[in-house]
Parts: sequence; structure tokens; C-alpha cells
Amino acid sequence: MNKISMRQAIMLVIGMIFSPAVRLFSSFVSGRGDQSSWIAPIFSGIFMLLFMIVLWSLIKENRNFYQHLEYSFGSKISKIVTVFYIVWGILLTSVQMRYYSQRVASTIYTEIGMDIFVIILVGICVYSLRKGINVLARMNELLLPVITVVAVFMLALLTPDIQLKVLVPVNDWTSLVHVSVFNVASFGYLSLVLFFVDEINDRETFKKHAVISTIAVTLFSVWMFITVIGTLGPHIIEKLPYPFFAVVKQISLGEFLQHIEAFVITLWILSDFVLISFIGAATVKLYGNLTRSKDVREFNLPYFALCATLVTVMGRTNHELEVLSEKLFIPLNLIFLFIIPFIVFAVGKIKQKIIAKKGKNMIY
Amino acid sequence: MEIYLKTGEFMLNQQPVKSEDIVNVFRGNMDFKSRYLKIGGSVCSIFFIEGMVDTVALSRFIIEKLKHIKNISTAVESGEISFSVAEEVTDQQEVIQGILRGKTAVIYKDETFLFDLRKTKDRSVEQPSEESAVKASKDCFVEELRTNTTLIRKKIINKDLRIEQTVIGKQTNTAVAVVYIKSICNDRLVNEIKQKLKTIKNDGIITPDVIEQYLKSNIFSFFPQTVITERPDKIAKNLLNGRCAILVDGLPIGYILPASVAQLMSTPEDYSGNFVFASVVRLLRYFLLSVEVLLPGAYVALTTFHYEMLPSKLALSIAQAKMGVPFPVVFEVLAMLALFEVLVEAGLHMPQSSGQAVSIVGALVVGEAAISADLVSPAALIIVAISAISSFAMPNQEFSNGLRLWRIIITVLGAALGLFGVVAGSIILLAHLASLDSIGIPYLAPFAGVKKVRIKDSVIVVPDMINKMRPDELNVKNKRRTQ
Repeated sequence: MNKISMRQAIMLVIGMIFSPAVRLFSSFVSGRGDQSSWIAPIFSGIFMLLFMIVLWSLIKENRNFYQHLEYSFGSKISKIVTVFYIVWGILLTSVQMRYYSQRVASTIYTEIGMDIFVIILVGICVYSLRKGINVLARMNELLLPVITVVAVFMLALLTPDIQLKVLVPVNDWTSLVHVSVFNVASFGYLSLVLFFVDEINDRETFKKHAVISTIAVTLFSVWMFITVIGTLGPHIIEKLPYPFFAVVKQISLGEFLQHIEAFVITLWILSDFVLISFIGAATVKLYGNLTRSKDVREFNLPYFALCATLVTVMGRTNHELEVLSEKLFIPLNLIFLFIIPFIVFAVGKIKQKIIAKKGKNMIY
Repeated sequence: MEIYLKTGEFMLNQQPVKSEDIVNVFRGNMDFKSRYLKIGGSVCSIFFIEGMVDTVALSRFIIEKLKHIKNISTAVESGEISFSVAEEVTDQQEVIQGILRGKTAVIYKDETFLFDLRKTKDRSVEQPSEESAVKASKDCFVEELRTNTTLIRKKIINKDLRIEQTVIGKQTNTAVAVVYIKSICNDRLVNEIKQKLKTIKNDGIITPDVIEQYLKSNIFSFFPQTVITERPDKIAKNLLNGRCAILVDGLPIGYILPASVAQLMSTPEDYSGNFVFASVVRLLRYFLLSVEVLLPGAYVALTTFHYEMLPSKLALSIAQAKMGVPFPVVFEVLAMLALFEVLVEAGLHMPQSSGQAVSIVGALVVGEAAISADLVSPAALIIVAISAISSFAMPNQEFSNGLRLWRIIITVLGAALGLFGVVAGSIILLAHLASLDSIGIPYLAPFAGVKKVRIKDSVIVVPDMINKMRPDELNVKNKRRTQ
């Protein structure tokens, strides 16, 4: 098995956070936290740094997530929980596919149905994962710098248009905390690293890489929120399906290139690809753990094909999709990415203590 | 016949040497010559292949001396037969191989000796024709394996330089040498290369593709997975970095392993001039790589699907130039790309003087005439020309060939799906490159798949005094290059 490094795993998480960050936060956040929403990523970042204690405690053990579940809950319950995880993974992949295809079809290819984009993405994901997660990790090492450089470049071009008066005052702290919870649902993809622990070479470097990347993602998110909210204002953003897209429409590079939104959408696809492939790889991996299959690559095609068929049932309009995300997927993300790993961590610790106590009693 | 790899020699399953058997083996070969001398009541047999042996030296240094000796080994030891390259052999197959390689076999009583009296009429070492560099050594490989190993030995005067030799090809018995520096190169790498060579069970190596096919991790890939060079200095530099080389008798090239994109994008010239300038040129090369692959596809996508992205003046000028052209943009671009490939192919097979004529016909007659006849627009021609020139800027032509094929795929995708198609094609290309390994080392190293991403000596060129370490991804024994 070709293993990946912790740096690659964390880079994959950063690569996949970009897409939902650009897509969702601005509208969700501005709808609830008003002009002060740009502070939300800071709260999310701090929460993630604290949650890293739980993740590190699980990662340092030489067990993947399924083995952790087995250790904490026993064989039967762990299997049931894993099935729930797989169902969540399938639904999450489908909804992300739907977001991606809807965005492409409704922005730059208004005359083309979204099915073709879903089929192409399925083909690319299956091709990329045919040799395992290491190919995706290598690809992301080159894709992430491209995504980052372009995003930073665009934000830099938009920064002069920021109106500071729409960003202050910061007064509604309660809703801000509320908004941060939404934000954290995407930051939580870091927990997916747990699924690949047995495929990572240098687990001991998790803390270093995770802390640096969380800080970087937090700062980038703050900058993006400031730019998006500061340029258009929270009330306009609230009504837009793709706020970042709307903001980027204002960019023109002098006489050379105008209306670069098509370019942005296509770059957005890169992040969508990383997001969908990584969630898919994690779910397929979990299925492999459940069925005790050593090589899970053969499940990739059926998995992505199943997700593609479910795309059509994921809401009919963009509004329905957003409601679905808000009411279903964000709470599910919080459950599967934070609550269950935390329970696994807590139960594992208690179990460890009981075993240690029993051992002591036996000695004396 | 089983062959094992062992430093500097062939090891074969032993069979006692008999003159009659050797004659039987070569019976019917017009160029096989045998001579029998009667010395002290016993017959001394001499076997060689005419044309490969210096017969004057044979008469003077061997036959003349044989008349006065009692046995060969004593004569060789005492210096009566004063010939520097003489080896006693006990195995018949070894004798046959020696004769086939141009050695002279002398069998007398129970002793068999092979004398190296080869008449060399090989091509002399000349200047590299494909990889020229102004400020670098001017020697290049020839067809003779021993000359090639000597060229490397002259550059690396080190006891740790290992040249291990094996024979490949059931029919051709081609000598193949694996070259590496024992104190630097990772043993796993050497063993893996030896294992891969062992798997070659074909008739022989006449053309370079055989070795390449067996060393590839994906034979269906368009991209080279070994670096081919005609320059001994390039091989020497890579050996010092911890890589291995393969030399094949009869081929005036060497293979460097493992290969990576970064290596394929570098030239010997990069290390012979100012490092700042070399870095700028190398960065330009990476830019040209993306131009070569993406520009035609992006042009087709922009002019077909996303014309709103173009500034109005530019869009108008393109539209104006396109007026009167009856074909869609994609057809124009694909036709010009196909024409370009035709010109390249024609130029390759024509004599040098006619090759220039082909270029003139291609550039002036076809290009100019096509525009005048409103068959293609000037913009499409310019785009294809820029992409074509970029492909020639790639240091490794095979790598460039792979990119040229992908360029066509991405252009078709761009025509079908716009920028989305270009991005989808790029992702598939990246996935393909990311899935490749060369002897266990990621093809995209040192940019991806390695512990530490290395910009030094990959994207930019740095002076030796700064670049003190050998490439991390090769897991060399001695990591430090400069003290």
C-alpha cells in the first residue's frame, strides 16, 4: 500500500475546505450574524484548535477510525455506527456533487444540463482514486497552491473595494457564536484524517501540520469574509445564491481580461473535485473496514455511480439545497465529525482507565 | 543458459570446454575461423571471428609465441605471451560468448584462454548532436559499451563507481551495464533496476524502446519514465545525486533512473551558466509547458463558450479576422495542430537540406496561403504557432511528445465543454502524472509525493555551495553533497 504523509493528508483537508467556504459561509453567515460575521472564522478556528486535542489523542494510537469504534463500542455497535457513517458519506458526496453541478450549470453553462458535469466528475474521481488515496494526495499538492494563489490574487484585487463601515460595529455576539457553529461544520473535515490513520506515514507530525493549517485557513476565511461582506454588504449577500461569484464578477484585469467569473468557476471545480474525491475515498475506506476488504479500489465506481444517481433527489432549486444543507447536512456534519469522534475519545479514555485499574488490582 | 548479475563478469552454468563442440556450435558460419597448431605432439586450437579480430596481432603476439611454450598458463604468467587482456576460462558457454564478442579462444591441452585481440573500428567520440551545451563537455556516447563506461569513469574517478554488467536478449546477447556509485546510491534502487532487467526475456535489444518498456511502471503512458541522454556528463551528475544509469551495448545513449518531471525539465546548460539566469529560463520552461498543453484548448474554449471573458477590442479583432473562414474554431485549431505534426514528421525524415525546405513550405506557403484562402484565421495560426514553439522549448523531446498528444485531447475537451473541459482534461492529466512512479519514486517528485517539497534545483537553479544536500526523495546513503 502506498502511504501518504500527514502533510499530504492535512493539505487534502485544506483543499476540500475551500469549496464550501466560498460557497456557503457568506450567505449563511451574513444571514445570521450580520456585518460582524467576518469574526466567525476566528471562533471556529479556536474551537478547531481545542478539538485537535481529541483528534491527536485518537490519531496517536495506531488505529484507524473503525478500529477506534470497535475498541470503544464493541463489534456490533461499531458496525451500526459505521453503516450510519457510510450513509452520511453517500448523502454528503451526493449533495456536494449536486452543489458542484448546479453551480456550473447555472452560472457559465446555462444551456447545458447538469448530468453531464456529474458524469464527468464521477469519471475523474474514479480515475484519480484507481491507485488509492496517494494519487489524490499528490494531485492535491499541486492543485492546492494553484487554488490558493488564484484565490489570494482575487481577494487582493478586491481588497481596495472593501467598505469598512459595513463591517462594524460588532455587537451581536450571540448570533456570532451561532454562526460559528455553521462555520465549524466545514472546518470539521479535519476529522476525516482519522479514517486514513493506517495509511499515513508520520502520524506524530499531526499537531504541527494541523495547527499551522487551521491558523492559515482561519486567517484566509477572515480575509475572504471581510472581502465579500465588505464589498457588497451583508444584506445584498444574503439574497445572492453565490456571493463570492457575484463579487468576483466585478474583477477585470485592465484591458486584457474581463468577466473572469468563468475562470473562477472552473477553479472552484478543482476544490470540488478534491472535496468529493476525499469524502468518497473516506467513505469507501470505511466500507472496506466494515467488510474487512484489503483493497477497496473496486468499490470506487459503484460508490460514485450511486452518489451520482442520488444527485437528482437532492433538491430542485438552489434554495432547496441551501435549506437541505442548513437543516440536515450541517447538523449531520457536527454529529459525524465532532460529536461521535468525541464520544469515541471519551469512551476510549474511560475504557483505558478501567483496564489500567484492573491491571493494577491484579498486580497488588 | 542462466545468467546472473555479478560485478564485471558473466556467470554461466559450467560446461567443460571441448574444441569439437565449439566447432560444431559455429559450423556453417563463414566468418568463423579456426586454426590448429601442432605443438609438442598436442594440437592447439585457435578460434575467432574474422573481421572482429586483429589478425596481425594474433599472428605476432599469440601464434608466434605459442610455438615455443609448454602450456599457456605458464607462458602467460612468465610473460612469454605478453598480452594484457588474457583470461582463463573453464566453461564452454563462456568461450562461445567470448568468441561472439570478438575475443580469440586458444585451447591447448586442458587449458582454454580468451585473448582480447579485438579490432576496433567504432565510431569515435563526437560532440553531442541532440543535447548541445556551450559551456559543457563536448563528448557524447557511442555504440561501444566499453567506450561509454570509460567516458563515465573518466569523469568519476572513484573506487565506489560500480559498473555491473549483464546479458539481455535470448538471440542478441546484448551486454547491459548498470552504473551507480556504491557509497551514494540507495541499494533498493539498484536492486529494483536489476530485478526489472532480469524480467526482460525477449529476443534482444536493438532499439531503445525495449529497455524503456520494461522499466516503465505504466507502459500505456505517453510520458517517458526514464531520462535518455547522450551526454556522459549528465549521467555523471545524476550518479553523483544518487541515481542509477543503464548503458546498453550498441546504443549511443544512456538511461537515467529514476526519472521525474523536474529532471525532464532541466538541461546541462542550466548548470553551466549564471544560476539566476538559468532559474529564470527554467521558470520560463514551466510556463511554456502550460502554454504548450493548455493554450490551444483555452483559445477554443474562450472563443466558443466564454467570449465575454475577452476584452471587447480583442474579441472584435478575433471576430473580424475570423470573418470569411467557413470552419469552426476547433476545426481550425485541430487542423493546424495536425499540419504541425505532419511538418515535424516530414522534417524528421527528410535530409537536413530538404528539411529546411519543408519548414519554408510549411511556414510560408501553407500558413500564408491558408490565411489568404480564408481557410484558417490568423489568430488560430498564431495560437498554434505559439504552442508549437513552446513544445520545442522542452528539453526532453519525448516528454514534449507526450504533452503534444495531451494538447490535442485538451483541445477537443475545450471545444466540447469550454473552460470546464480544459480544467477536466488538466485534472485527468495531473491524475495520470501523479499515478506514475519511476523505480518507486513519484514521477512528480520533488513537487508531490515526497516528504519535503524541494524548490531548489527543481524549479530554480541554485549554486552548489547553497545546494548542499542530495535529492531527499532518492533516500541516498550519503545525503550531503557539499561539505
